[in-house]
Amino acid sequence: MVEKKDPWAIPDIGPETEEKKSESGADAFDATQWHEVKKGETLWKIAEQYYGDGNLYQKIFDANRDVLKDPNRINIGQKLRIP
Amino acid sequence: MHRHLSSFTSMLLVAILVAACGSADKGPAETALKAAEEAINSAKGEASKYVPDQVSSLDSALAATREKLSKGDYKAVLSEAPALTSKAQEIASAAAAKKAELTKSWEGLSSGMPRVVEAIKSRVDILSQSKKLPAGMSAETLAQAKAGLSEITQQWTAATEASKGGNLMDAVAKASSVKVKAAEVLTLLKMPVPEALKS
Repeated sequence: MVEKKDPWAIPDIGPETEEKKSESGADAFDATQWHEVKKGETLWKIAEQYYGDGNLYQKIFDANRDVLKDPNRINIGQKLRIP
Repeated sequence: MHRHLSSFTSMLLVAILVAACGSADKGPAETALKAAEEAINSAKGEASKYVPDQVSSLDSALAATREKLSKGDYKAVLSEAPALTSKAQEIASAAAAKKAELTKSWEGLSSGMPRVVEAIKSRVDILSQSKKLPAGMSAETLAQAKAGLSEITQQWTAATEASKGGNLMDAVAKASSVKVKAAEVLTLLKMPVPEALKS
């Protein structure tokens, strides 16, 4: 079975510099789910993991516009909010 | 005969004295009971909301003391009425403490829970648009989460209304059940459960 080609695949370009720090611990009611980007991951793959549907990658991109400028560019170690 | 008469007179005198003394206690007993009633009535307003069991118990004690007054047991009334007054003051303090505790709880819940509910709603909305659910999540699980969200929303509205109506006990009780349900739904959705929902 051939894996569907991921249009958002990016090369491993090292640790993220604009890392979004987790807010957990500061707020006892914080229900934010965070995902730390691993090597080879894309927004598409992350959307598949959390939503079952890579097409919904835009939801993750929109929730992280403060740290993402381009859905094609996410970096290893970057912490993304999963809405 | 003379001795018998003297003895009878003595007994009569004692009886009159006892009666006179009892009668002398009537006024102070009534005053003491009135003071206790006033203290209880003054405490009741808030106390009925926050420590209803204690108010009910105090009401029973007051009724028992009233009964003693009506039966002429003034000494018992004089002995019990000050305790009723003290208890009324204790209950007023307990009610104030409970109100402060509930206010603090409500403030925390009302600022935190809407964000939790919003996070659940967001995830349910997104998953509802998904063509395929994530691994380990069935359509039935999502349906349960949706039903849970609906229940949470209704309960939260009811809690907010109870708070607006000044019923903090009810508001906090409802909000606490929202917390429990929200933790269940977050788990169903494979989302992290915030610390505040774990206690």
